[in-house]
Amino acid sequence: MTSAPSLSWEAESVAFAEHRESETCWIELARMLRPLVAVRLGDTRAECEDVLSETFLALLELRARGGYDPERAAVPVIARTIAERRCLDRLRHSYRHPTRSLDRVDPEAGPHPVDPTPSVERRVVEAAAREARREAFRIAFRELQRADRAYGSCRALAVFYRYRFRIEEDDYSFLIESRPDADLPGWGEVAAQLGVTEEAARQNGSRGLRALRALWRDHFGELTGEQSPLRP
Amino acid sequence: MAFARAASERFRALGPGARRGLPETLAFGTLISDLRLRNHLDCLQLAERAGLNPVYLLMLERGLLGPDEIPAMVVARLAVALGRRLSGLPLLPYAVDAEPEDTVDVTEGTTWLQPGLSTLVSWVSALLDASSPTAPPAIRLPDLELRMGGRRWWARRAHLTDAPVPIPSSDEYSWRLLRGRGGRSRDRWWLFAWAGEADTEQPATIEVELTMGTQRRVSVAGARGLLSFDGLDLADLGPLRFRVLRAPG
Repeated sequence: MTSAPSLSWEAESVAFAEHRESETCWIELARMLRPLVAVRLGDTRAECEDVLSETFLALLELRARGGYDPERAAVPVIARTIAERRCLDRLRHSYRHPTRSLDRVDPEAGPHPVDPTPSVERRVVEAAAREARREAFRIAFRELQRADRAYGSCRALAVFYRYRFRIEEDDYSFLIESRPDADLPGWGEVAAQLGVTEEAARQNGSRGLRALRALWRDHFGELTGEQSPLRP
Repeated sequence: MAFARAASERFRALGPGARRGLPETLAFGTLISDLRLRNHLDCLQLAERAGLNPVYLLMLERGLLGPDEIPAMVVARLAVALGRRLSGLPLLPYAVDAEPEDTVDVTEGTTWLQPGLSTLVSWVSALLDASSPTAPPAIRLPDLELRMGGRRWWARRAHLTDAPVPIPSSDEYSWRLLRGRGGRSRDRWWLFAWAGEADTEQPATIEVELTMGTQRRVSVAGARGLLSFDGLDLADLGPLRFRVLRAPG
């Protein structure tokens, strides 16, 4: 068995602040954080590795902003705090947005109540409808991006960050109805992604949503309620 | 830890106070990361499916790359790996109306074609909708100039198709109907083009080598100047290289 290389975190933290950290620094950080993240998130390897890379990136961004001071805390202390926050964010997110794989079938889910084996025709029609919805959204979204480019605003991306989980699920019903916002990423999160203030993110987001509705109406007709093609 | 090292290098190169890439590349990275998790894939699995370096993929997902570092081919590979058509991705890593177009790079003896986004839209569609009658019957490529020993030729009306004969663009609708009757496999593709002398536009009986991804084919144009490269695997995505091996006279 090989023992872990000994590392002086005090010296390594100073080296990190001066952009000359050693390779061992990253190896040791990963070795230290991996069990912590695994305990917090459970045995989901994909998410654990994601949290690790997000943590490293956050550390590097902190340093790039000049926000890291080795006098105040050593690198592992900051890294641990960041990793724990990231785990919490993930857990909060997975609670609000439970995802399901399109590849795997849950054996405990039981048979589909309506149509256990949809016919080929039905599947083709559903797939075509889904593609049509995606393309329609993309057309309207691109037009909004084009307008943003002309006016120097960020309405399209504010809408994307705010509604991205619904967009990725092909659920565009947010264009026609105001559902409770509890499950949406907060404006603070949107602002952090866009690099603007929370207020600016909120303004861009609501203006973007209005503009998208208008663009959709111009291209594809009136937005209607229950029979809307915007639902998955 | 290769990602941490590469990201650290990137930040070092950008200098103090650096932010990550453009808003579009950052948003695209977030989208890819979300879709990957939605498909229960880790970064290594997606990188393997898309034939990309995992560190490159992580840098892309975290918005550390500029749009010029994300070729359209990479976006196409990711779309195929995630089972999404290019036209079904809500956003791309490029500024609107600045998406990469087909680029043809001609040097003495070799012509490179780097397919742009509009060409790759049909390419991705053809791969994802292999069994569907709605899949495009042909992928149109731009006209290509070929050079060797001071002589020049054109390869015009180039297209990739799963039919064993060239499909004129005016006949695409008929081919769709024909294919709708089903039964044909789409795992074998052909690349057809008409070679002609650059000055006279007369058919040229030249011998041309095509390299696409890891595949290499050679074709000799007949009296009509038709070049035909057979048995191509469309999934082996990569820039296309054409090389004139022999020219009579």
